[in-house]
Amino acid sequence: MVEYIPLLVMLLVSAVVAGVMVSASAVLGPRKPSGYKASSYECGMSPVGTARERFPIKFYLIAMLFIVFDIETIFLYPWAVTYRALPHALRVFELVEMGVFVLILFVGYFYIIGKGALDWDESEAATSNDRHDPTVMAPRPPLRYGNEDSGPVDITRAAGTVGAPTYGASSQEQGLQSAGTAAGSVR
Amino acid sequence: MPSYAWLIVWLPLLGFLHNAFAGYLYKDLAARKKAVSYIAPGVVLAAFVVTLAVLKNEVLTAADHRVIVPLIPGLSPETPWINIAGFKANFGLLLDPLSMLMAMVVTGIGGLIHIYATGYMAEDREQPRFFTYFNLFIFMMLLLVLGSNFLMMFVGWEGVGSCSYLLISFWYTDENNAKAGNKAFIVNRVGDLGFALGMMAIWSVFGTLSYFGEKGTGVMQMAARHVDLLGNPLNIGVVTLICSLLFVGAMGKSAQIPLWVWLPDAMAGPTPVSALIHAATMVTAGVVMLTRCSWLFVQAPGALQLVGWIGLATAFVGATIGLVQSDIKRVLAFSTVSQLGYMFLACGVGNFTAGMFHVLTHACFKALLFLGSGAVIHSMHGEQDMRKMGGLKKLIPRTWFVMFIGTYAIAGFPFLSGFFSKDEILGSASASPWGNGVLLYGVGLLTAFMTAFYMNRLMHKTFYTDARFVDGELHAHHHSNFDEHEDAHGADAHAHEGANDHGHGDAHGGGTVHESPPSMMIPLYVLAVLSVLVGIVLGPTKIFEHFLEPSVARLDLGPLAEVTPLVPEIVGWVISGAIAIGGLTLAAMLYGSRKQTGELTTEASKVKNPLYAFLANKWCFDLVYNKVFITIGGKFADRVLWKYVDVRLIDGAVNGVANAVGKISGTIRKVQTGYVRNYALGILFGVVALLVGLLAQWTTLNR
Amino acid sequence: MILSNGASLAAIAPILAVMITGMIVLLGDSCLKLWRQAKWVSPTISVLGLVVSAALACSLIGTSGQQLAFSGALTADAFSQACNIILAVIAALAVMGSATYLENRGLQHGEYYVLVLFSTSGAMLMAAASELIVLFVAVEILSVALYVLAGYARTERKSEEAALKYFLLGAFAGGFLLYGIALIYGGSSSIVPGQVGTTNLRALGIYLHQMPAPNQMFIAGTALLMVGLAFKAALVPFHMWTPDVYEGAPTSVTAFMAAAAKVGAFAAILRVFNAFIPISEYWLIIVQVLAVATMFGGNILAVVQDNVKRILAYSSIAHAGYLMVGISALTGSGAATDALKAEAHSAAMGGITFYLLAYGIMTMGAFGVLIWISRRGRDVQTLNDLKGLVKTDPVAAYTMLIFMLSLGGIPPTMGFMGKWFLFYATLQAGQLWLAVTLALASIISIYYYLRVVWVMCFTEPDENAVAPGRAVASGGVVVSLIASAAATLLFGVAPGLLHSLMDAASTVLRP
Repeated sequence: MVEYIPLLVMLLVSAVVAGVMVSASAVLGPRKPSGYKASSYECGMSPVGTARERFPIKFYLIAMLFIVFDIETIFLYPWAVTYRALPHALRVFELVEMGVFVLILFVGYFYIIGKGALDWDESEAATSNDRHDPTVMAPRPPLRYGNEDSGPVDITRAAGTVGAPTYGASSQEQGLQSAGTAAGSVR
Repeated sequence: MPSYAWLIVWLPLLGFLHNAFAGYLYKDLAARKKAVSYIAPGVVLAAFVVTLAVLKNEVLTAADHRVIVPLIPGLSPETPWINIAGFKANFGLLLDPLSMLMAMVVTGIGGLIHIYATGYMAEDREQPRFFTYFNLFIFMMLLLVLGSNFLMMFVGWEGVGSCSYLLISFWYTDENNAKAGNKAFIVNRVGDLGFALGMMAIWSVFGTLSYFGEKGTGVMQMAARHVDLLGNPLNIGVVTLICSLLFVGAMGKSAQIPLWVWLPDAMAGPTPVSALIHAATMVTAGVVMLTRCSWLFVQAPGALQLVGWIGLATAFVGATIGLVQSDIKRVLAFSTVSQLGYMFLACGVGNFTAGMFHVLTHACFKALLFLGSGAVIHSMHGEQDMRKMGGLKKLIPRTWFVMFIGTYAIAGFPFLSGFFSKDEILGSASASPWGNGVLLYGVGLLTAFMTAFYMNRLMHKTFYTDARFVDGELHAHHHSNFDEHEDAHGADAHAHEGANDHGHGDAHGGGTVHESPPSMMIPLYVLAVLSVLVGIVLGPTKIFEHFLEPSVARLDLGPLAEVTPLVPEIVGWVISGAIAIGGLTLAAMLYGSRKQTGELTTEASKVKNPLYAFLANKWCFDLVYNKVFITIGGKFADRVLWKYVDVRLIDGAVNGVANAVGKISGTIRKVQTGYVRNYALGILFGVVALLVGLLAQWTTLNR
Repeated sequence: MILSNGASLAAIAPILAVMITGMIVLLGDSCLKLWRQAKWVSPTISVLGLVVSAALACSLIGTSGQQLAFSGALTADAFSQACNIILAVIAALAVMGSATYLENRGLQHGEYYVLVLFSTSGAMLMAAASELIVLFVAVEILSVALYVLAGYARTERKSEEAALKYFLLGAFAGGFLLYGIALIYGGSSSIVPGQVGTTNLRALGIYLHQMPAPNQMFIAGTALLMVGLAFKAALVPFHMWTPDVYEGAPTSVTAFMAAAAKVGAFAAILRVFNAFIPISEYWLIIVQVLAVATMFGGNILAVVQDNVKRILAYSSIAHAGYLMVGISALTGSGAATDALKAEAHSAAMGGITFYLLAYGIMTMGAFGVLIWISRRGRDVQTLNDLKGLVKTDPVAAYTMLIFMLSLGGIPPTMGFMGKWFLFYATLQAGQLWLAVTLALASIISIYYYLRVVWVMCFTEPDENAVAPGRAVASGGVVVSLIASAAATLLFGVAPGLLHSLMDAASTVLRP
């Protein structure tokens, strides 16, 4: 039981810190409410309006890249802890292995730099090869993952429109669905 | 030192590939034909040179004169080709005197015939196709003779059969040619079945298919020690069965009674094909196989005796039919049948060396004769009927000269090559280990007499008697795919109907008889020299016998023993010579006195003569086969097998199953909706099924 | 023999070679302008890397024996090297066949080859994994790259749909795989001395051999593990994604996916079930049911298809069924003596290995022909597009004929020999009924393979369909096709040439 005490302490400390921060801002902060400020916070996006709004995909890209590298960096910690416990004979090897690991991270890093994934401004990305890549710049056909009249979006119906899947079932299979006998046609 | 023997086999294959893809390599037909006409003979002659080098450097220096080398350079000879269920076959080439001899014949004489064919086929639009098959044939034949086990021989065996089929029906627009090809192929099937069964029997007795192996593990080595795979003594009955089955294979390939009927028809192919495949090499494959298996055969006196009798009968029957043929190539075809019979006769009395010697000499003079007859036909613009020839000696003296040498060689005129090889066979026939030497010798001599007679008959009808055509007005009998007149001829106006009068043939000088081009004549000269010299150089000097000794089993290895010949060798020579000269002279006398017609009697009296009709009908073999297999068998196949077994039973079952499968398929495909959720459901169903299944199994087992 | 860490690295050099090549291409393509502009660089480097990998594997195959690398996490034995060779060959064929196809569709990016190389390395790791965790990681390395590849034609809806379907179902099945591993870890605590579970296949094999009495948790884990692997190998009823994904993905990807994923999956299945042979009485019947269902399911469903890619997809399912027959034969359940069981085991091992190579080559070839004839404009996919091919493009038609015969198991092709080996192994194992079923199922398959041939050779070209002009030789794909066709025929005639590959497989011993 005793070994869980630090956990309890940790819990208390974090509760206190969070509580202090929230209450301090409530007590100390100036109050000049406006329409925007009164609305709930949604990571910089307008919380009201159509959910189909477009916004830069780079946002996600950067976030995703951050998470990838973040997690991989965290992997260094357990390694550092066990490294101390290793016998000397193995240390060089383990060090080299971690070096390789970091090297692989760097390969990925250089790749995303090379592809211009970190260039926020499109004008800066002119050097990246995506500029010359017709498929990247080509207008995409509008995908309709459920449109106006559709109910809850069923993303499992992949690129399908409201009706049958675009393909997959061969012609007879599709014909079958229009006859309404297959379970799949029941929305 | 790495062996170069693989080159012998691969070179013709390379040529085959080149010719087969010539259409892609050269856009223009002329360029294609030109390239093919250099490459095709080139690779074969190169293979001949390699063969000579290998013989000198590898075979003659080896212990026992026997080496096994890999077919694929770099691999060990022990690399398995097939290794299934304890069944192993290697990829080796067996280099020994027998295989080298045959390789030399195939590549050497084959090379000459290739050169000849470049001239003969020069005007054929499909010349590249011809040489594609021709090179492939050489490759397959080399596999057959060089392979180190029965399976490789079988591959070559089937391969040469296919090439033979393809080449017999080379001018396939003529239905007769296509039929002849079919006949050869189908009759050979019977023989091949025998071979295949024999091979299986060998496998079950000896546990291997290799002729020779390390530490005496080869079939021949075991047979020599008279033991089987487990070391038990061989059962004579089983060995006799094996040998008989193998001999059935040889019957088919080497046109022996009763499977000989395809060979005369096979003359439908271009003449170089007849020379190479149906005279010099492929048809002797049976003799080669028997010689290769001599260790087995000497252990099986029954089979050996069968070989002897069949050989004798074939020699005799072939010669009698040869007496009455009027097509120049068919005379030679029956002569080939007859000579093959001689070879088997030699094998049958246990003198395999003599058989092989006759293979060698026969390859020389029969190739010469066929090519010579091809030159005659070429000169006559495709005419093959001797009744429409005559007097050609003056018009084409050089062709006459080589034909003359060929005729005297095959007739066994003293000191030409046929004399020595035939005498050797006759001598050993008289020394038959079964004591029937007198009969064998007598019939053999009679056959030799007939051979000399019909060959000189051929010479007279073709060259000496008065011309029975008008020079300058010869009709072309070219085949449909000959270059210049393709459009004029169409697909159906060809060879034997060939009454066309639109003044073509200018390329040959207006339908006149002409000497053949040098590409055809030079091989003829070489073969003529060989026909004269091979016998006297290799025969009486015993060079051949000593050379082949390591490859051939001695008769006394088995239960039989050699008997002394009826007559001493010198007397035998005199008798053989006398018989040959007698036959030649009789023909010269009979036909020399009828210079004008070249016929002994009128056509009308021929028809009336029952003996003539019998011979002209080829002893009624074809009639009987037609009656038994085509008519009766065909009726059985049609009325019983087809209408009941095939249509009702087999088709019914097949169609029923097919319909059922189609229905099931149409039903269960409905599961495939294209929706991921349904697929996930399928997976879930599988998960449940697997869990339930495995846990139920656990419950059952742990109850 | 447990290798030191350094020696372990040397033992998995073929896998490393592929990974490093992947990284080089990744960096070179993204950072070097010249490299990017010269379209041929990435494929060339990739093929070179794969050739190096195959060469390394060839040099290691003789000496590998029974090596455990990285403290038993990987088995760097001769079998894994054999799989490395097979996979390197498949990937090289795929890379060579892809370049033209991608170029025509404006998809020629270095990433394609990187993904191919990475998924190849994943499949190679699957063949080497002897730790279930490593197996899972390897499966994911293979799969994630394949998900991306399936959706590589980003502007095509079919391709996107294929990728999404594959990803969703793959993730679903991956969950079962992981859950199965967890259950095995938990369940094995009762059979492992010291009450601690293990996920090491070798250890499991040894323990199960000593005490073949698994508990329910272990059995449930086995079932779920089977599910995860069966999904990758596309066994019925985990096959339903296959036709859709194969149809939607770009043809060059389909070819690679069909061949490499299956080889990887079967190498892993083989390792897992080989370790579980001592408890085969529990799972054998399930494997046999799966085998029969897969053989018949795949073949019967293929009969009514009109799209060649779907036909080949169902055909790949059927081939997975044949391979499952081989897995069943591993147990030698019907063999009377231990010696016979061992013989059946080694026959099945050799047979499966040969079959994997044969399957890889002939599948690459069949898809390669599709790639070749669709090099002008539209994808050739349906039977309609193939009508009268023998007239419009005879060489393609004859090449396709070779692969169809081979897939149908007609001599003298590799497919025939492969089936014959499996058949023989099944007979050795004393499972006559299964062998007969194998033969019956292949009879059905002849129908749809020959249907393709029939359409190509005995119908007139369709006016409305894309009449493919005579295909102009286009480097890589031609080399890839010639190589596959030649190998199909050569090894069909002379399977003995591969005996070292098959012997290598027999080094995986019965536990």
